[in-house]
Amino acid sequence: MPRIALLPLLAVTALSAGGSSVLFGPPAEVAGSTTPVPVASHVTWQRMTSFREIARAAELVVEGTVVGNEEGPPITAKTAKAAAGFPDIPQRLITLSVESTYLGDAARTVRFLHSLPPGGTPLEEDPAYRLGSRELLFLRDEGPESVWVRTGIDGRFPVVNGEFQGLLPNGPADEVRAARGSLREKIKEARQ
Amino acid sequence: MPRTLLAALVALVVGGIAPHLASAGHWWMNGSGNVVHLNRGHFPALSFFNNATNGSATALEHARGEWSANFAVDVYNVSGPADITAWDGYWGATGWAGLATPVTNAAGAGTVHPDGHVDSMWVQVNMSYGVGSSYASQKAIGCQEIGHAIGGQLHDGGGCMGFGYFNFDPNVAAARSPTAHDFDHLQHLWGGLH
Repeated sequence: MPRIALLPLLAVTALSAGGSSVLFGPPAEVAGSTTPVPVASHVTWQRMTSFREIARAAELVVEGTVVGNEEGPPITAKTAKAAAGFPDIPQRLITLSVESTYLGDAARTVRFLHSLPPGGTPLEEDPAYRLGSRELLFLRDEGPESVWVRTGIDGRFPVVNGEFQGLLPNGPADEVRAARGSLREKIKEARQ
Repeated sequence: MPRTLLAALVALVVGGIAPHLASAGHWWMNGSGNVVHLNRGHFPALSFFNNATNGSATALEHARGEWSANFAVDVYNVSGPADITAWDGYWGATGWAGLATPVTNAAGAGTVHPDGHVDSMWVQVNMSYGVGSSYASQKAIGCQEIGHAIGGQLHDGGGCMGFGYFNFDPNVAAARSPTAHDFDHLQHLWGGLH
């Protein structure tokens, strides 16, 4: 439909909504504070939707408890080769106390990077790592020395009530849950 | 106005299109329960600065053009500060291939005003992944992130607003473009704001 024809349609539709407050749910005015507040970015994820993919991409697979969450090295605009004016991107350096190793040789603790969006507000689908929380992680050796990175968002499985949780729809969480109890063997099998 | 067009408009409104779209609404909300949005009135023109310098500029321009051509709001090119600025870069193994980030002048990236409005939006394409060599991926990512920047939300409709969530192959043409649902959604959003 030509744009010029859409405008009256929109106007009529808006009027039919009685000023739009019910139909459209416009932003309500917030009394008091005018200070900007944090909000998470929206994301297109780099996906690995099968167990085979994450198992083949990983070099280290560990389960454990988060014992450290500190400021890590930012991804600088210079490193990223972004155009002038773009800021550095913050990262958190997470330390995991390892309780089970399913692939590779892990020390008692493993450190890995958690990248954040510009401004540093964690993404809703990839929340901050809470101290004391349990995680299953598929990691790759692409970080600075002795620091790992995840095989994307599909390489992170928070452990809730003893069960591995996926963070996005249509990921490998079901396959990982099904492999519980024989995860080491299933990973080895997937990598062959 | 031609009589046929007028009749069509009346039929659409009276016939229930509005409730249908209202039920399909799922907005980008801030913590105060307000819609995150650029603050440009009911039928705005949104300026777009394509500041991608690492190879995705063409795909981003095509994505901008598709939204603008079919959307009741112009998304027009400028060569400096804009409502929406697109960037690309090699941000590494972050996990994300694209981002849309609200920006307020007072507090910078990742912030909104308490009523949900933002001063500008940033769109990013991460060239560190396979997207670096694929126009198709850049287009799908650019389409989704520009869509977010102008108010679009994720849905499982086969288009770019479901790319990476519900559909995964950027070589399928539909995955690189908005759908009719997206345009309906945005027209409601912009018609209802302010």
